Amino acid sequence: MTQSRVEAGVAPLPGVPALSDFAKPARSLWGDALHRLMGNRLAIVGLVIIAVVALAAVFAPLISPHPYQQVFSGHAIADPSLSHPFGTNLSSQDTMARVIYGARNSLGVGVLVQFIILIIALLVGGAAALGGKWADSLLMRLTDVVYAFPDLLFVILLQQVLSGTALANYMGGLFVVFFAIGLVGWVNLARLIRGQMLLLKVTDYVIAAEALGATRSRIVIRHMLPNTLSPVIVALTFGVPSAIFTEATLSFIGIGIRPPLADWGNMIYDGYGPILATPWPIFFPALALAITFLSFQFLGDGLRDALDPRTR
Amino acid sequence: MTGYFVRRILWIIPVLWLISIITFGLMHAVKGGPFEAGEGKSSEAGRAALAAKYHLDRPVWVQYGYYMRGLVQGDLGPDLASQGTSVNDILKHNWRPTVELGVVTTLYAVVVGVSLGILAATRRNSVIDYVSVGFATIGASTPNFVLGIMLVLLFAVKFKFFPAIGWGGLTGWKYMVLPVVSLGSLPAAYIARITRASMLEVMNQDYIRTARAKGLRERIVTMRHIVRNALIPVLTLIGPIAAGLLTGSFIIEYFFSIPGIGRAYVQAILGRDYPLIMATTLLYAFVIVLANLTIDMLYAVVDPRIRYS
Amino acid sequence: MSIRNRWFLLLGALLSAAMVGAVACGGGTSSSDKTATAAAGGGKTPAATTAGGAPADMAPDAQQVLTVNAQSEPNTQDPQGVSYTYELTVNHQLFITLFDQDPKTSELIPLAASEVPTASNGGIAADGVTYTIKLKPGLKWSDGTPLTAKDFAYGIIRGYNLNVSGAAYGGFFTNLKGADAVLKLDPKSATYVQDVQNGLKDSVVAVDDATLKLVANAKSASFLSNLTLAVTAAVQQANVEALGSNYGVASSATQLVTSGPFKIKEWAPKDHATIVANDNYTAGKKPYLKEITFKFIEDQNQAYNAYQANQLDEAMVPAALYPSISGDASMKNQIYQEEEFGTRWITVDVTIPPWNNKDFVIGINQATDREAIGRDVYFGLRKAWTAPCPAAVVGCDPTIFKNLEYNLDAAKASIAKAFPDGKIPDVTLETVNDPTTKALATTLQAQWDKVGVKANIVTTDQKTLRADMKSHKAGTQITGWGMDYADPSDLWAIFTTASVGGNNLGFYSRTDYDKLEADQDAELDPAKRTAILKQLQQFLAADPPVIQFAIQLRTDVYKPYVKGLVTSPFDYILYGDQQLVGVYIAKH
Repeated sequence: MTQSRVEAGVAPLPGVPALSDFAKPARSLWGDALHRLMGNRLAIVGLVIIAVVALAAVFAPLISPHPYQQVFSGHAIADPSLSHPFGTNLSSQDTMARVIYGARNSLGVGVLVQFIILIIALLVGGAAALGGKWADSLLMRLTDVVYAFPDLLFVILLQQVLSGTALANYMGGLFVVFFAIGLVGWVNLARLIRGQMLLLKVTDYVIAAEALGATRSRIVIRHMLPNTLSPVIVALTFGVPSAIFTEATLSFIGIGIRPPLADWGNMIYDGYGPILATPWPIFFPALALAITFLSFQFLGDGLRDALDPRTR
Repeated sequence: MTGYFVRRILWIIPVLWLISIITFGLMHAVKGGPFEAGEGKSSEAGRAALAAKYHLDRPVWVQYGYYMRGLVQGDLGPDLASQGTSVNDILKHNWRPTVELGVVTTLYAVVVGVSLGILAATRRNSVIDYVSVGFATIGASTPNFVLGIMLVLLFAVKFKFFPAIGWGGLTGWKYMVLPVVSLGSLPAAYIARITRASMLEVMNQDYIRTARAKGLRERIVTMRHIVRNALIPVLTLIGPIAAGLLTGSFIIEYFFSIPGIGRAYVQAILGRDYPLIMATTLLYAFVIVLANLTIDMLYAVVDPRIRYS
Repeated sequence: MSIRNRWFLLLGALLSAAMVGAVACGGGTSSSDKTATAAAGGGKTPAATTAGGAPADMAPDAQQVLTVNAQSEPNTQDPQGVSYTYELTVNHQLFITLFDQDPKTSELIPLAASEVPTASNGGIAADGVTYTIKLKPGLKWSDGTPLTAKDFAYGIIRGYNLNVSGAAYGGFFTNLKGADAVLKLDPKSATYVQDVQNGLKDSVVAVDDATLKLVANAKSASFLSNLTLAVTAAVQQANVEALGSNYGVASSATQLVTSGPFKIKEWAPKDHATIVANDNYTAGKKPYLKEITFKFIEDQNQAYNAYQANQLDEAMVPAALYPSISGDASMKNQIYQEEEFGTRWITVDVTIPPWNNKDFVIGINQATDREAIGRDVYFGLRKAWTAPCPAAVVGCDPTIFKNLEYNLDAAKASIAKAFPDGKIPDVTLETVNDPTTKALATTLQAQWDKVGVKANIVTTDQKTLRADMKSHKAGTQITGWGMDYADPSDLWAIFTTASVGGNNLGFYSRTDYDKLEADQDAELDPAKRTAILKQLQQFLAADPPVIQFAIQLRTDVYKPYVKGLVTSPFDYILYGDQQLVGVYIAKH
């Protein structure tokens, strides 16, 4: 390994640039990734937009011009105006308020689904990779079954089975929806985690650690998980908009959050009814969804470029 | 490796069987039956009679027994909604548009997606690049039925280039344009992004630099080396995408009134049409598993580094 | 990388703007006034046709093809199995019943019968329960064989076979002698069909080829009206036996032998059904149209788009679009509007609190601003209405229900009377996830909030809704009633104890009401009957079973070259589908 003359204890030659001037500053995996991410302008834009949306979601009651459920009798599907900057919807409610509050539920669905997916995928993928041949075989066949099961059917059925229970009332009906979406969506991530861990099991440093007497759990936690996390983070980032879209699709069938709660998928579906008369009820939530969707895509792209050691 | 694939093929039967049990159980756990007081004006006695006719008053496992007995003989049961037509008939009449739509959309997504991805990777900062990526962006950021309605209003109602609804089979290309574009734009954009990423990764590889250093023409370098190697990860996507399109086309089928089984499937779920739900679920599951398996096989053939144990 | 991506963001914005523009232009909205002016009642005046001759502006035969949207696919075209309006709209063209209903007077007019039996012409015997009906001479099936009274007897009795009609009108025609006993038989028994026939063999008799005898179980003013229902249509026994369990379904549709002005040419599942003129039809005027195609397009917006793209000759007008197209001069001669023959209400489960308190039900009725609903949620396509009966029904007097009209002060008073301590239980509004229904629920929620009633909205699907209502979990159901025939018994029977489990979704059960309803049905003298009906309505106004709110204005558009459409209050799913025989395509 090359050393600077300073490090080698040799005095620097005058006029000659030291080797250390050319060396990249030492950085950890995460530090380097962060640095590269910061250089990716599009990813930063995405991150900023997501932050704005998240803030809007959190501070909705403060920034919303009206309560989201308030009915303005006599003003159904009104065009944008001063009192209703985004117009009103079919139920005579203010669209802007509903878009702002909708950020909560839409973002919430997207992010919380990823939690469920991550937990299940880590358990299944990890157990499959580390548990030996039988565990692997069994769990992979289980994944096949879940994967082959038509998602739509499962979500609808699960939602309906749970709708009679107390769970149905959590978060205005949203809990069962994303619980169901999460339950069908973990397969790809589990396979990814398993694949990564299988690869890592045979890398030099893991073998070395085992030879040095490190315990299983230490190897997993200190060596394998951090290296698995990169593609996992990327997958989760792309998973958020995908979950939001799935939820929007489900609204079309009639499954989703309960009125008067708003989320973008629901608003798009509601805006479809009067679409021939006016585009505004569908335009604003669709725009919000598209912008958020794209932001997650840019961020995901950026994260992947930043975390992928091959593109250093 | 042959052993691996033989084992996977054999596994299909138990997987499907498990799915049938789960589906059947869940179906009957849901509230409401096919013969509740619907919009029609039936009487209690009438509904009870119908329920008895289709064994719906028996315990769930007995009903499952009836169903499996019919299934192994190839009889998928009667369609409860139309009381007379068998599920076999319904699937027979309606499978074709769904498959046609799925296959054509997959082709569209692959062709358009790969082309855009290659263009984006090789011709940066040109007009083609902007337009293609712009298109990919629009298609990818709205739900497909929103895209559908925009396209219909513009090209079917205002300009009357294409019909607003309907399906004409493989020969009726005019009917295909709007549904395929609506359904396929999101997968196309996704494929474009993966292709671009893959192309960029391959372009930085040593063997590409070697090829260039050898003095090969850029075009040959691109086509023979870069694209072929870049497409390998894309290949693995086609399976899930095709399976997803085949089984997820119901909104577009509903929207464009395409007489396929996707739409029938949703109606069956909402109408508790148990035999149709079972048949379509098993059919879809079979398609998904088969597509996955085919692609894994293809991948093993194409990439000699892959070895399954 | 950054320059390119900035470009596509810009492109994205431009394309989005373009699409918004496309939607706004393509939708055809010119004005921004979304509230409708009062809808003009009634439909178009029928085009003048020369008496007995073809209309002067009729296009050649090859163009006499009409394409309409039936919205949903029929499950069957077996007359004893049809029940939904989208099934009846097709079935009405294929099979004839003994009688039809006059759209203007609501009286019976003979269709397969040669005249309406009365006491004076000997059609109704002195005992008041024996009806003798003569058929028109020379009636034929579409395959040329004669259509006789035996076919009607066969069809009527088949209507009691619950294996065939159980999901439809199987238990409807209850005042036939022996019907009650027959309806209690076990459909799974091996001898079921024979038992049904034996049970009715004295009540339904084909005296000869052209004479049918029917016996009622008691004197009933509504008896003959049942013979306008499809479930009492004649079916050809040989055809039924040949097709077995496939009788009436899509796969054997072309083999169906029909008696009406049309027969089935093809039925492509999930797509469309096409019917063609039946050359052997003799019961009435032959249709001008040679062919009618019923498409099954469920999405309203797309159906309307298809209409504009010239793929359909007819479409229902999406409510939100109505204000703009009704003001559009070029669309004016395409709009057809009529009142549906039925009313819309919210059924409430009167066995659970707070709906078990009749003052509360009255109060909610008074808290419902029907005008606002019709204006905001339905854009003028529903008009406010407080009675369960439409005005055309015999003896219906909407003024009796004036006490239920919108009046916030009265509402507060009623609710205070119902819950003096002010502790009002929450109510649930369970609906399907359709945008308009949700808008209705949201509007009701806001309106009832003004009188201190908290309503929780739950969205689910149709089947779950019904199941919840049955198990007393839902409490409310947004529904209504479409009249099957013009006789008032069709409507008032819903609220009887006997209908609980059937059409009485709210479990409304009052012995006094049951007696009034039975009395009015048995009363043959029109003046006396009207008096009883008045009492009955007063009873309901004081103890309402439902939250009444609207009458729907069926609004369709037809291409300008479609002429001869005639409005009928009994139309099923399309404006004018009761009288398609008079419709023709004009030269264009």
